[in-house]
Amino acid sequence: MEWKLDGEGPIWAQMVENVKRGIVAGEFGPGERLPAVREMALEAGVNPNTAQRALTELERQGLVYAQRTAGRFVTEDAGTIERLRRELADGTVRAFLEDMRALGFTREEIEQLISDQEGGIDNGDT
Amino acid sequence: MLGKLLKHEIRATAHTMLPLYGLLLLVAALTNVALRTLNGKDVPAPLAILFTILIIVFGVGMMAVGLVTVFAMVQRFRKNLLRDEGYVMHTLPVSIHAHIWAKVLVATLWYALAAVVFVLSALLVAADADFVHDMANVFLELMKSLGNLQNTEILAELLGLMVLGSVYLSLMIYASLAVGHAFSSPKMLWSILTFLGLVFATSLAVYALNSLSGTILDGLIDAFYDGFAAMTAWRALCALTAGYLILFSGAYYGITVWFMRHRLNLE
Amino acid sequence: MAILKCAGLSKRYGSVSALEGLDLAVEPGRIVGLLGPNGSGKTTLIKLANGLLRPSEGQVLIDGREPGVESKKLVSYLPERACLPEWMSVQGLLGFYGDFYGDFDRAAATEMLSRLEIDPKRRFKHLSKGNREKVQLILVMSRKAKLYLLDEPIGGVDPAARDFILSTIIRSYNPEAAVIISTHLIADVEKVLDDVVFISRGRLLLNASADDLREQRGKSVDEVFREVFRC
Repeated sequence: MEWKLDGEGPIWAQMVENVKRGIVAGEFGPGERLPAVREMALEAGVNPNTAQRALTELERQGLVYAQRTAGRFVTEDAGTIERLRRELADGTVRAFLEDMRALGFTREEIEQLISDQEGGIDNGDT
Repeated sequence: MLGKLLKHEIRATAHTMLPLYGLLLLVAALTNVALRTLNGKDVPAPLAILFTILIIVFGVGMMAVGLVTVFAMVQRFRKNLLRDEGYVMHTLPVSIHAHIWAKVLVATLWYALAAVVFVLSALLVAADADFVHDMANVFLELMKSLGNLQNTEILAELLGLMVLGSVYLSLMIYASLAVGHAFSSPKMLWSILTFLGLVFATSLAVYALNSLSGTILDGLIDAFYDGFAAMTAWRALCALTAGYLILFSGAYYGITVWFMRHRLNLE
Repeated sequence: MAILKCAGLSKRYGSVSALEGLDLAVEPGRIVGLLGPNGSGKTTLIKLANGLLRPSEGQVLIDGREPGVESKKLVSYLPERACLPEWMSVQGLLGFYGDFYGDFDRAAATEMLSRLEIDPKRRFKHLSKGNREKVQLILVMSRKAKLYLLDEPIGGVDPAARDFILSTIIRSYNPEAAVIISTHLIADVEKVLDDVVFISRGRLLLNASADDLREQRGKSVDEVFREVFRC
């Protein structure tokens, strides 16, 4: 997968975000094996301790489970993945709304812009 | 670790020294041909000029072989231990003592080989059928005279002094380089000044030691020339010379170690 | 126990002070960035840890020992510039490292060389500048050392070589060993660092976990560095 680590905030937290998006987008399917720590560190170009911390955090949040020898796997629980999907969407919407309010848009204006944009998307000219 | 250093040191120096010595021997062989062709025969002018040049090259080569060897050893020491390569050498798990000994021993090896090559190329120039016959005789005589215990002893003592002399010379050079390269620049100028300083200090020390023990030395030299107890006097002279060489070599060794350990300046 | 420990470490050249009262401990398993502008004392610190220089005051200990023959067995050092004997072949250099370092993994080095398609029979001086730097790094990283001291490993190399260097460092990671990378190009190395040590004019300015620093300041280490060392 393509890692997006822009250097803002702790890198392990950014890696957690990256993997979460990967799970929701289906890049890492339910029950799929994740790369080992060193492999993941190499792919992302980060310190192995950082990759380890990201994986531990994913485990703690129940998105990933470890099997003693075989490695780490994405959860197979559809409910958990659905909750994750929702959580990511909430975060994106929250950030979007904050930005729009900072630009001075009202709720009505925002809704209008969204439907305008959606029209654009449907017409395929974005 | 000294063994590994020696192996590496011999390899590193052999790749410059061996071709050099080989070249001198080759020139000697060619000069032999040139001399014999020129000798009493009419030779076309261009060939005569070529041969003359060859003979001059040989003469210069003979004179230079020792100096070039010393120069190569100076360069080897400073490039390997006091400049960029020093970053690699001084971070090996090897003591400074082993580094210095490897350099001293290998330099002595090359000085000895230079002497052998010098003699060989002199023989090679003169060689023809009669000469080979004569040399064989000389060699046989020499072997016979070695049967004489006293001659063997003198030869062994001379060889021993030569080895000590080589160690002395090497350490004097290394001490000068180690001191000179502790300065930021110009390192070579400081090294040369240190060398001159060491020569001066050493002569002064020898002079002082001699005047302390002057009567002994005079007595020994008198005894040697008298012929009476000459062998005893010879032995005592050898021992005295060896003592001086060891004493001063020890001092230079100490200087080299101290400066490389405390004032290494690789930049 | 700390693999590298400095206590009140100072180095002066005459009246010029290159390092002043530095206290630092580096634990095994950490990749540490030694960060500071040129001339801040990074190279002096590394040379002191290597025994190439002697402290004027204070001490530096490698695995509890002062620098010497024993400590040098544990330390793998990449000097600032290429300084391997130029006349040697790459193969000869492998033999040289194998002779002197008991922890040198020749098979690993050969494998890395073949991955880069560097012919081991070539002489060091006939290699391109980039390949020389890579060969030197391969030799250094193919040891199973306890402390790696890398002095400006990415100064002046092209981006492809930089990626190779960083991935080699990650690939060679060993929880028993510490890696110290000195550099002034922070953006390039920041992602591989556990800890960062800022030094300026021979003094320690900051010693922190890279992630903690990013979290506390809400900025990348590179940005923090630019703020701290703003001219």
